[in-house]
Amino acid sequence: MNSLAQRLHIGLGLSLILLMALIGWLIYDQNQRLVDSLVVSRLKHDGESLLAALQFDARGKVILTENSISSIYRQPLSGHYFLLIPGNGEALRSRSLWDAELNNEELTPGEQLTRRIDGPAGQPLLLWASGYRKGDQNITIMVAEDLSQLQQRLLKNALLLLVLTTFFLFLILFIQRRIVRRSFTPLRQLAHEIEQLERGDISQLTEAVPLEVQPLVVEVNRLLMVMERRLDRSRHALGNLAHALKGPLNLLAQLADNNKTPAALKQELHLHTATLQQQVEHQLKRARLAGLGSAGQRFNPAEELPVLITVLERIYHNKQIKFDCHTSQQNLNNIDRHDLLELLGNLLDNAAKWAKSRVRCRIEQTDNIYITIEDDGSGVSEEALATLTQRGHRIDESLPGHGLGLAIVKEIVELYKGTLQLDRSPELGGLRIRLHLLPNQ
Amino acid sequence: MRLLLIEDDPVLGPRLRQTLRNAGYAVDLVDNGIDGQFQGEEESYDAVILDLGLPGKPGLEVLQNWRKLGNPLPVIILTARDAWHERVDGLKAGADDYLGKPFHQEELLARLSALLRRAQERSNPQLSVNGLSLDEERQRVMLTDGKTVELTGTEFRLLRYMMVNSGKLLSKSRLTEHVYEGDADRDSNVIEAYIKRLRQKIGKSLIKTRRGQGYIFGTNAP
Repeated sequence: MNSLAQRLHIGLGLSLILLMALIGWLIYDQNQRLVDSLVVSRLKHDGESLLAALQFDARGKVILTENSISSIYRQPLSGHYFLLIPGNGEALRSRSLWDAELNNEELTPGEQLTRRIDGPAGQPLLLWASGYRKGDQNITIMVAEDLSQLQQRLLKNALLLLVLTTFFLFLILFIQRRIVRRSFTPLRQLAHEIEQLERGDISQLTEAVPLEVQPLVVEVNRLLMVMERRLDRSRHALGNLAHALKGPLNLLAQLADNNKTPAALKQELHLHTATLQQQVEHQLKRARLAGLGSAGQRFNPAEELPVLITVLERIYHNKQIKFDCHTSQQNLNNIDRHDLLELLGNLLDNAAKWAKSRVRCRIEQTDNIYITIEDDGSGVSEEALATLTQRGHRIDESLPGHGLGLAIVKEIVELYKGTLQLDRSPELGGLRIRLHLLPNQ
Repeated sequence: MRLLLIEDDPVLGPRLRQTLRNAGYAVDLVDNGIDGQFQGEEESYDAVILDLGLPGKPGLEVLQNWRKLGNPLPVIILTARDAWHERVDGLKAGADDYLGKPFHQEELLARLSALLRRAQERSNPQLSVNGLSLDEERQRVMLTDGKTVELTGTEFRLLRYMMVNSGKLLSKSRLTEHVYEGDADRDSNVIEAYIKRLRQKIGKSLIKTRRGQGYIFGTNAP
């Protein structure tokens, strides 16, 4: 998965590890150098004391005045050693050296060296050596010290450092995770809003988001507005077209009603205007449907259904039909208000047209929308039902009286990927229409 | 009954006015939204037939403005915009009924009389008071003795208005307002003459005169 949070975690984690390793190594290395330089300066000091303490006997042989030398050099394997190599005669070694060797290299006067060597009993030694000229002899003085204790201390420090850095590394990573999570909160908010947008709960996204995603949100909002306006505009234009076409059609129809018009012409006029009207109406209604995923208004049953029923009661004012419409839904989601009103209007109109006294409708939504409409009219014969349920069958061609309205209904059902079932209402006895819309797909 | 017809179509408007006149209504025709709104506010009408696509001011806005001012005029919207959401929005804007074009004249007349009945809170489609019943379709009246009397247009409008408002004191000017169209010659003496003729046709006792105030229809009048 391409997760920004993941990338931030990995990136920061790696750079922290690198940084801490570098710092750790630097500290360790500097400590080592510091220790070495301290030891070397001590060795130098001891070396110079040795030089001061050495004397020549009558034969020119080198001797040391013992008491001027620190007692640590007399203790066997004490970790402090020296070796004097005179120009002639035998080399003088500290008693602590026992019978182990140091370096036997002779240095010319003024030459110096510092080196790590393995000493007696596996002691790691730091050796300092320098060449001198005393009297008329070249003398090489070597002093060495055991580093093992110091090195252990250094190692301990390094371990402590490692433990501390690891602890802080995890602490920082943990804090960073919190920070990242917090700074991603607006994005989760946004994702939530997009879900709401899909359902039609809101029509715009909040633009109070981090700078980085704001251009995206603003653009989405702009597109939403453009879409909504476009839908509005095309619907409006179609409404105007309908208006413009219906005026003349209406006049033609009125002309056909006129008593002065000859009977034959009347019939022709009726026929053609009716066809024209049906065609215009059907195509216009089709074109004005919004369909799935549209940026339209949402449907609030408590607000819309009573008004819709009033409209129907006015139309069927001389029939006294009882409309019993019920829904437990607060809001119907994912369906355009105009489409749903067109759907319900046509279905209820059709039902009321055939009903004797009762029309019932039920609307439920889980994920999908279920609509059932029943009437207590004479219903549709079994054969007609059988024909109607055939695939690809056009309702408006086959069911007299259930004309245009049902064709539009079918159109809407198709737009919402739904199904339509017709049968006899078990309770009311008339036609029952059951719709199942899948607006989430 | 006096109606306000707001319709901008130059052919449909006058034709509809004639139809309504033939059905026994006094009709004022206005062809734009601005005059329509003004007329609806200033004059007393029994109902309004309102087109939506009007020049000057859209019909829905006219209606909303009336309702905002608390004008309870019964309104039928008559329009080619007959999508269901438009009908619902029309009623939400304050219309009492909504009729899509094209329409049949009989349908409009039936809806209109249903609307007027609702406005008068009258459930019986047959208008009858004190044994007198009015045949609105044929514009004649059946007397208590079963005799049928034909009425002229003005007589019919006058009698219908008085029967609908039976028991109420009706001034001459109120009668004039609801019986004549806006541009008619409104001489209140003419009303007196028509009352006289009605009394000759339906009997004197049903219309009482309150001197200086007007007339009351019905025997149980105070």
